[in-house]
Amino acid sequence: MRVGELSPAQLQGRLAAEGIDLRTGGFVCRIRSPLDVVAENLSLLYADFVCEEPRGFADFHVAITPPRGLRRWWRPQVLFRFDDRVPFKPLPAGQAFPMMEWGLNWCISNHAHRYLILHAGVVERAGVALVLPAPPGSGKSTLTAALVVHGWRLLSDELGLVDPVDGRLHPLARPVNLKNNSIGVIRERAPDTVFSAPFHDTSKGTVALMRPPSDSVKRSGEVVRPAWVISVRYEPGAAARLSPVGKGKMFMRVADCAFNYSLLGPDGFGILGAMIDACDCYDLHYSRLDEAIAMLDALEPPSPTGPTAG
Amino acid sequence: MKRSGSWRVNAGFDLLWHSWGDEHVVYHCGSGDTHLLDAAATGLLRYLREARVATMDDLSLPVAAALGMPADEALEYTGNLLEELERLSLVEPNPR
Repeated sequence: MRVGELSPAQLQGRLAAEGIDLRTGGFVCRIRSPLDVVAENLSLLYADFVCEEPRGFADFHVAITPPRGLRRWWRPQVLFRFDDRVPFKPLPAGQAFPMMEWGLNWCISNHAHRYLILHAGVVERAGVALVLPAPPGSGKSTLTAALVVHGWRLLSDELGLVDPVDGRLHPLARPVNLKNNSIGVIRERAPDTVFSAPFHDTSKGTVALMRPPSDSVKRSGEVVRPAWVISVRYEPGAAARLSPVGKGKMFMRVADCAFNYSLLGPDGFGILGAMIDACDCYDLHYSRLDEAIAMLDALEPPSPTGPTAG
Repeated sequence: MKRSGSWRVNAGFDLLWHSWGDEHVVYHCGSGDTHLLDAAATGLLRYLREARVATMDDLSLPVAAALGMPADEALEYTGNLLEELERLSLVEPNPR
């Protein structure tokens, strides 16, 4: 069953009771919440996602709930619970849904160590993946969203999951997290795409979530070979330019952006080295999305190669 | 600058490599650190790994040949490289 097949009352009822088992890529997240705002946004943004049969296996058990205490009558807050633990400080109740999104990212980046997990946007065209590793504020999510609206398949706007065995990327197509000016920029390019209402005054400023394309959600089981690793930097007023980067330098940058590179030790070194081997590496500086997209559309993938570990 | 004694690759831990042209990354299995090295540092480290132990003079000769440097300049350059590699715990003075 898909989330969109549940009526608002059914979805709200299940969230408030046993929870829903939401499949996102290779993970099942059991989500519970009594809050209307969580049910409404799940219905809006996750309509195409599979809702597994209740009481099966779930990788992560989370709840988005109001804390107890008198404060809730004056300044209502919300907690993210993971296995009935509270890993974060509460946030204002109006930020319940972004908190759920950030919490789910945290669950994966802190626990799914069967993958090398990169902080990266990942999109696919013609059977090969473009990896956009970058720290926050680089324009990675904006470019990822713009590429998806333009027709590239979304694997993730935030987490690149690299398979340790074959180096392929596992999809995790979830709503795309847009911040501040990017919200209007992407809305303008995608007038028919569904967005959440903006959530104001979060730690990242104003954020809004873009519903992932149905095709990306339906193809969440299709892993992809990486072809390009591109460091993105948004530079106001700059003409778009794509320059080759040495693979050693790119290796270090991607390792810096990975959540669990150190934890995986020599395995992480091997997995990342094989990925860099297989990819062409570039720096992309841009200010106008159309120029950047045209450059990325024109890229030819490298032919598959073997690793050069020593 | 390091001038005296002999040198060896840091004992007891493996080093893992990936190489692309003149750029090399090395993973130190003891510290868990990864370092980006240029061709000169990599050449010195690989030479030392193969030779097991080498003096500054031993090491500066191939450096001079590879980089086309006069002997005294190569000696200083090699000393600085060794200092840097020692700081990264990749090489250490040979105790014997």
